Amino acid sequence: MAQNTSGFRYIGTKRRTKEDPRFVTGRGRYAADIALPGTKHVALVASPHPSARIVSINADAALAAPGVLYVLTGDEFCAQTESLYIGVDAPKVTRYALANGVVRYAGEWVAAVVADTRALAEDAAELVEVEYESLPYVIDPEASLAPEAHLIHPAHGSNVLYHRKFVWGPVAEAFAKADDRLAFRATWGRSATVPIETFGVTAQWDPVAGLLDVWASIQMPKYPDQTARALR
Amino acid sequence: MSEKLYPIAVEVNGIQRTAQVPARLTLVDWLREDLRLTGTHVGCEHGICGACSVMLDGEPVRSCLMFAFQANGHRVTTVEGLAQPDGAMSVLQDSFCQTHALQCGYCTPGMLIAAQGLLNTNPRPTDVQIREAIGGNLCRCTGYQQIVEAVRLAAERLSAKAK
Amino acid sequence: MWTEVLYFTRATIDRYLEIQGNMRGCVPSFCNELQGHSYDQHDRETDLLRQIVSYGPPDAYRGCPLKAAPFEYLRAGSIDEACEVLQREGDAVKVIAGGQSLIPMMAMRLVRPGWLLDINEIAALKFIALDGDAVRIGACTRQSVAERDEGLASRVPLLRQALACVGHVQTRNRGTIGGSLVHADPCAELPLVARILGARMVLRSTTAARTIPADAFFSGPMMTVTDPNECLEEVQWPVWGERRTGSAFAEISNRHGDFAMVSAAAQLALGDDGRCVRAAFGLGGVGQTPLAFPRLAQQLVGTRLEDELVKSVAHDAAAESEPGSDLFATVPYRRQLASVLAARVIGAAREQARSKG
Repeated sequence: MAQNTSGFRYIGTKRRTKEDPRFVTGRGRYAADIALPGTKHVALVASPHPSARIVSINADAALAAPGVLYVLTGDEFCAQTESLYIGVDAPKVTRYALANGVVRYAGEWVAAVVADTRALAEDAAELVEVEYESLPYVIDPEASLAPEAHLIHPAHGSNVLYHRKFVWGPVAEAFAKADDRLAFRATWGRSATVPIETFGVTAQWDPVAGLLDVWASIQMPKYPDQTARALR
Repeated sequence: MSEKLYPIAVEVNGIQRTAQVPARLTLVDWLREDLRLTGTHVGCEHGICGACSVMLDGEPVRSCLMFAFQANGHRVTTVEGLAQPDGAMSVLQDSFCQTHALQCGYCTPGMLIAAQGLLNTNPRPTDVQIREAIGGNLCRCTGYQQIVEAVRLAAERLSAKAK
Repeated sequence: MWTEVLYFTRATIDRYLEIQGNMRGCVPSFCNELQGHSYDQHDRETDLLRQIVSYGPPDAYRGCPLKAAPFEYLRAGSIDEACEVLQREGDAVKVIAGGQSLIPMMAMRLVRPGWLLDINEIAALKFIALDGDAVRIGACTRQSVAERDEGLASRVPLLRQALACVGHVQTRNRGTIGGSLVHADPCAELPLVARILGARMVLRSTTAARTIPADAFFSGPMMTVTDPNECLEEVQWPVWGERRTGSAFAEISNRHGDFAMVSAAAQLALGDDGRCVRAAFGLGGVGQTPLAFPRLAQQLVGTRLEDELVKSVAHDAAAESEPGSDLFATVPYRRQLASVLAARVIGAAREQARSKG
């Protein structure tokens, strides 16, 4: 099987991976494949507004819908968990899985409905009544730099989360000596990882053992650490 | 749960399966949740990514774009049904391993169904035809080259076998 | 009109189009106010975001549902049975054939019929009848079956050419000829072919059957004159008798298989002396419905279809069209595509006809 023309034992050889056979026979174990007895499913209520204060959330009708166990809102969730990791030096910026009093983008999750099946959870999610008070919004990064622009995180004081200037070598000198000077401004769109599996989590909490098992389609660094920290 | 249930009888991977299903249960959810055939995957859930591909009466379809009741009286083949009768991998599945036509493996069952559908009707596909056949399946990992190689290799191996 | 049944509001359609962005190519008339602007990518995105933000939330905004709302199901064993149900239940019922367009919309809860009437098992709606001056295709004939049919390909070659661009293998194995026409997406391939060939749609109800030519069938984006109590039974595709007939279909889409940004179709026939004796061509994705240009096509008749003339006619067609602007293409860009594609398909049809020397 190995055709070795490189002189190395492994580098340059054609080898089969050990994992492939189970994937081509449909025996992968992805987050959605985990079947634990009694697993409940979540549907999310999202904000249609890009910027708004959450005035109230009424989940009465949702809770009365067939198969629904619980409706978790930001008030309850954010009071009992820590902010997720921000990743830049912005200590006043917080990030929670559910909106904490205000929504900062259209699509931000506001409430989580837990039910016997996802279809039933989605039925109930439609019945959650959220009252919003629209706030000014800014959806363009450069517009957000203007002094009068709406502050996404008021406690942080500005809309700049990260600013860095990279200097390598004697820049001023090089420019001074150059025959021609070229200034170039680059912008690029936001990018994201978008695996076909999408992102999913199955979690099981064992209160007796005090253990939380999480199966997640995630590759981010320190995922268990971050999750544990957020959940205290 | 008071949704009305409808009786269905479907041959899945050669075995007759009967069930009572809600109208809105999709074929892919029935296969995965009720029959525990989790090899077929749910990606986009709205008919774009192809991860849910199965054979319906021998032809590839998107099982997220069918309700389970629509399969009543029909034959479904999933990735679990592609293996040879003795359980060994099919030539196509083995070719995917040979060319490493996968990384995360999530699109793979759908790719296999689409490719098998092609080889069933066209044993000597051109590269253009291979790309057309898997054109309804998205892969985020491989860039498709090794998948095309796998299908090409499988076609060569199958026609060598046929001789 | 069944558009009301499906709770189509402008916001719903736009949200559908935005969600389906990776399949979409066209927002025909919804962005008229953007015509004439020249946009860069940044402007287009910001503008689309502004539109979405200003609408107020259609239901689909409140989360991203991907499981259909509850409904009840009926399976019709015959066209008569289907019509009876439609007559009795009216607006509450939605017919499902292939479901390749309907089911995604149901999954995203943009559409919530109380009843789904499944006509997939009506054998009498699955046929391709080749005799006569028009090929009759049953409404539930699978697109892949039609694509493979050699008799159809020799009589109405434009259908096979267009079908190659319709979705993907998987969707063609379920999607039906009739379904695509009744769905009436202005960027869809089959409605364009129907329009330029003058296909006839036979609509059945419990009391009557009426035959509607394509130019009267499509009434707007995603809208046809089909009444809520009617079911499409068959589609009749006129066959051209001229020996030297050529046809071509072309589209530009983001990815192969997506709906077209702009599409073009042409069919023409040459006499033995090489002059054009008959011509039809049209454009998709540049109007509220697919557009045919019979008057401009007539300018081609009697000529040798010289390149300059073809380009000029194509340019005039593009100028007459009413493209919209969206995330994927501006109005000027669509007009440019329309002009180029129209010339391309007329030229290709001409070459094919010439090859039948």
